[in-house]
Amino acid sequence: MAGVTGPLLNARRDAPFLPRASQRQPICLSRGSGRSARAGAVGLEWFPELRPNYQALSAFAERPFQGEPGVATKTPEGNFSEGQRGPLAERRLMDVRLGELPTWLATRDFSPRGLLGGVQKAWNSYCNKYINVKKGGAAGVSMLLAGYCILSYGWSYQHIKCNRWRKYH
Amino acid sequence: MNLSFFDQFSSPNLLGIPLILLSLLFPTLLFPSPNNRWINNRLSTIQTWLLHLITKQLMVPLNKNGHKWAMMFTSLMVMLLTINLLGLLPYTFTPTTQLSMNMALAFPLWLATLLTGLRNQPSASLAHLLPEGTPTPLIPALILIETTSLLIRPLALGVRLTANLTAGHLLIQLISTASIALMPTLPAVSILTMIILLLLTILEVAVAMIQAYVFVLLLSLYLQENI
Repeated sequence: MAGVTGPLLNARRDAPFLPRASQRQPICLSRGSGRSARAGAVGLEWFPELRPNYQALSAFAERPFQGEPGVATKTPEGNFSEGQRGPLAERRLMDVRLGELPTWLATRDFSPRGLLGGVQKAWNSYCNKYINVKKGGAAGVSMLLAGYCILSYGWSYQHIKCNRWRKYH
Repeated sequence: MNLSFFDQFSSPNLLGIPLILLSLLFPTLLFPSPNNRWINNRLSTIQTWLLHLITKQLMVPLNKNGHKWAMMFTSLMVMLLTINLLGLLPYTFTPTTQLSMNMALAFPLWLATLLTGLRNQPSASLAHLLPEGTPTPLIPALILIETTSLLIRPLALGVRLTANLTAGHLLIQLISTASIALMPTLPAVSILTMIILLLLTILEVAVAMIQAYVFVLLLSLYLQENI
């Protein structure tokens, strides 16, 4: 078992900093001896999300791909009143009428976890609508940048408003 | 309340939170984490292409031990690039105009390269203090000079980035102020000044990208000497 070096079939396997099942073996050994046992799982090396114990940063993570390719998810279409059936607590923001807004807000979860969940959902819907599309354009990123400029302006408004009356700049 | 041209480099607070915090966190939104699809969206594809280009460019001169620094250099490069470019948008704050932040980036990284060299190959690292082929009488002086240049590297790294970006932002503000002030009285000169402003903005975009690249390139060169 010592010193067996398999041929270099694929240069991409030479990545010493990827986690491997047999940490004590050097790379060449696991390439030579472990291939037959893990031949079925060889392609998973480069997709850490598919490993069972992968901990990803999930503050602003997008939702992982949960559908099957080729199956179009059916969004509820129909006329105006169809999206407004169902109890108020379960409807999305866009399906709530203006008069029902305070009641709907009262049903929302305002705990830190609930707020974080709301932020994540909003971010995911934004990404899925403008960025994760087949032919995304500059609009998705431009809206983010414009929002950033406006937010920065609002943040420094108290400071900038002194410039209005300044005689010499 | 008289200083106005340098006011753009002080980060204003809202409810006690400084704007620099927002400027440091916003770039994370612009880089979506790659999902496990075979073909990603266009934004991720472009970013992955750029990332591969940068990583290849930086890692080719390094040996295998140096490749452990790939994540560090690549993430530093992406962060500096994004922060510098975002600072050119109106009303935004550029964290890299602050010397404190640039020194905080430059000093630990330079020290890490130096300590790596001194720990793993001390004689080879110290040998860099004397270039080959030096005439013998010059040796003491040259060692002093080389030591000084070694110790001044983090300062140079930090100040280079700060000075370039600060000067650029100041120039843009000055020329745009001149252009607006001239508009009621000498509109032709004002239009000329606006053309100069346009060219300067293009230059600033280039400087933003080049300075980020130079910072990381120099660090990789210092690593190359020591690893």
